[in-house]
Amino acid sequence: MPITPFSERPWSDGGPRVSRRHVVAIPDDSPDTAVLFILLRRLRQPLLLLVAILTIATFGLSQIDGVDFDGNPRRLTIFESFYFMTYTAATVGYTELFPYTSAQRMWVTGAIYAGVLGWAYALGTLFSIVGDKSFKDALGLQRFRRAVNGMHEPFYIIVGFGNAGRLVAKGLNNLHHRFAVIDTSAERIDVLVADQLELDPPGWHGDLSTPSLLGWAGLGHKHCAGVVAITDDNDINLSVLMSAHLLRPDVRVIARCSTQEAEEQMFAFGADSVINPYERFGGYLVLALQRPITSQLSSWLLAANGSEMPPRREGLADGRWVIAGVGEFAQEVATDLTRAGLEVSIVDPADGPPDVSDAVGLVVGTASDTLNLAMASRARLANSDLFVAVRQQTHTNAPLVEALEFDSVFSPTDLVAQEVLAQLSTPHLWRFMTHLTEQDDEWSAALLARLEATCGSRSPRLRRVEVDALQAPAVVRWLESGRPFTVGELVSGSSGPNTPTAAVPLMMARDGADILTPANDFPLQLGDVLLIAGRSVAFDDLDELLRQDATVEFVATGEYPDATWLWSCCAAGATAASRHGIPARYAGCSPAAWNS
Amino acid sequence: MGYGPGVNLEKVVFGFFVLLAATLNFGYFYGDIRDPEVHSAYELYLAVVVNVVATILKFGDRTQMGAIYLATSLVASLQLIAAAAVHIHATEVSTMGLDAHAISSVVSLCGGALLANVVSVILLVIETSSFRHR
Repeated sequence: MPITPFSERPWSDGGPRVSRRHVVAIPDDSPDTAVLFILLRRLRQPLLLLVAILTIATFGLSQIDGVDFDGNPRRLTIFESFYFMTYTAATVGYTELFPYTSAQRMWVTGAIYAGVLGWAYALGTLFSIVGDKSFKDALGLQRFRRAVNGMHEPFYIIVGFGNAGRLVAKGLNNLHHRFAVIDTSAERIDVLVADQLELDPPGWHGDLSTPSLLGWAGLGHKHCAGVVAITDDNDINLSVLMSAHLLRPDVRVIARCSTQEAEEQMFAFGADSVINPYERFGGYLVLALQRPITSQLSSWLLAANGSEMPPRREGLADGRWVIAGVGEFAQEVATDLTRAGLEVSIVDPADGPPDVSDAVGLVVGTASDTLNLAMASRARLANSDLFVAVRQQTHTNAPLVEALEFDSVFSPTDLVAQEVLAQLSTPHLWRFMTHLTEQDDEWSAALLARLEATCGSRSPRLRRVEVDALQAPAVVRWLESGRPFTVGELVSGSSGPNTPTAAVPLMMARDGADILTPANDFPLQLGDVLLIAGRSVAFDDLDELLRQDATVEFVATGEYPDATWLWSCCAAGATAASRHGIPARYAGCSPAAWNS
Repeated sequence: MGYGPGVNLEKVVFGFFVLLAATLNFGYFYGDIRDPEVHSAYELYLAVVVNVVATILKFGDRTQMGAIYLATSLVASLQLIAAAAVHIHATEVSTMGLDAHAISSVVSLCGGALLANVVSVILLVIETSSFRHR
């Protein structure tokens, strides 16, 4: 019986991949982005007409004989005519400059008709351009591109802003990551504004399979950190993946898919990660059936901090399973369960309620939430011991699903969003969870017992610690002075060596390799990354240890160094030699030791 | 660009306005710089209008040539409008009237505009001759 639900897909790691042969520029030009040019081009005719009308009217008025206030003959100058025509044709209408003669008034009458029409035409054209959809689009695209170009920190491109896209956007927002969003529909992008995200992320709509849209969204930007293709269309996701991989091979790409063929194609095109929610669900289901303790441990670690241990269901693997549903989901789950050696029967819900009298488990996976809930509830009435897994298609029905408290709920969008966020924001945790699903129940039971003994029955906090100058300056100084420091000492807190540890190291990443639950006497190196589970108290101790030279020394040697500069200077001559040859600055002269 | 052997009316109109702008400008500019008698205000007025029209004609042209035309026409128009403003100030506002100082300011501003217009004409000649070569 296979033990690894995910790793039995050989195409997912390694294998030949398509790579580009010729470096091409990322397309980001568009024919009509210069909004001002569009505006000016279409205003050309009305403006010319207006100029012509005003010119003729002004010149004509200046050539007609008139009189001044005293009745002496006087023609208007060109400037006076222009001034008069300007305010008259623009319908402002002051009075006449001088008492006009009939000839002047006749000319002005004609000029007003022509001038008002000229202005109306020019202004009308201007407003119709401003209200025009293509002009608004050009303006919006320009704003979008400007916002993307103005990014000054790493950002992700989210392709597809459906339910999963929104969840990913919210998650990234909560983690203070920047991102740009593109989708096929303008309405969905409008939702982006309504979501009230922190940093007003740029969003735009268009044909997602054109590379230039990706270019506008920042694929060529030096800060582009990754592309997340999570539309519900396999072809679009694949084309986004192809564009990203061929134009920017250095950028990380995560893609969603719903069939195995699409998954293989995506891996061949160099996806860093492909998430098939149906396959994931099948994998987790198989995990729960075959290795209940491992499954229990993984859901406990992923649950919110302080959650109770989830219940363990055993004996699910011996008996018949019924899958009610049609399409990709039912096929995918059936494949996974069959491969795990279970007896599976697929039932079309159109043929009436499934017969579950002799079954141990039921997976309800039609595309209609109402139908799913009805079928699942009815099946549970027929067989109260049944393990019921329900597919939840839309978020609006979440309260109903929750109220019925099924054994397992599958929401594809939630699953995709969770996986994407885990891979982007907590890659080490995600790698640990991947390794965990490959462990047998004995290993998991041992780790579970250790965690319960150390952290209690509530789910622990998880933390990633990198042994570098930023996160662990004191430890780095200690290691750089050539003295060893072990994993056990790191998690022991500030209480000193040989005391019970308050935290459990789950995984250590070194040089690209992952070491699961490293032993306590495992020596640390610069650049190691540790994933640690523990209670809040333990992490307070850890923070002190990472930054205080004196604490590091105490934990490593069991002795506190002299805390103040004056005292250490006085004692230096007497004791420095006995302190394992520690240089003077480690004996208490460093700035960190001043405050201790 | 697919115009065939026929004449492109847009180019004719534009060439007409560019040349007219330059000739009117020159006509106003020519003559003793301190003598208001030899500089007709109407010619200045027409020069301003024709230059503005030539500028508007190049709105929205995104070719390199079009952009330079727009720039030169814009310079000429601004210079001529400044000249007209000085002229109006001298005749309507100033107590001194259109004296030698005022008219020389106006004419020298027009001289600047003339330079820009000459550049426009040169561009026109270059474009026309290179069009023939193709």
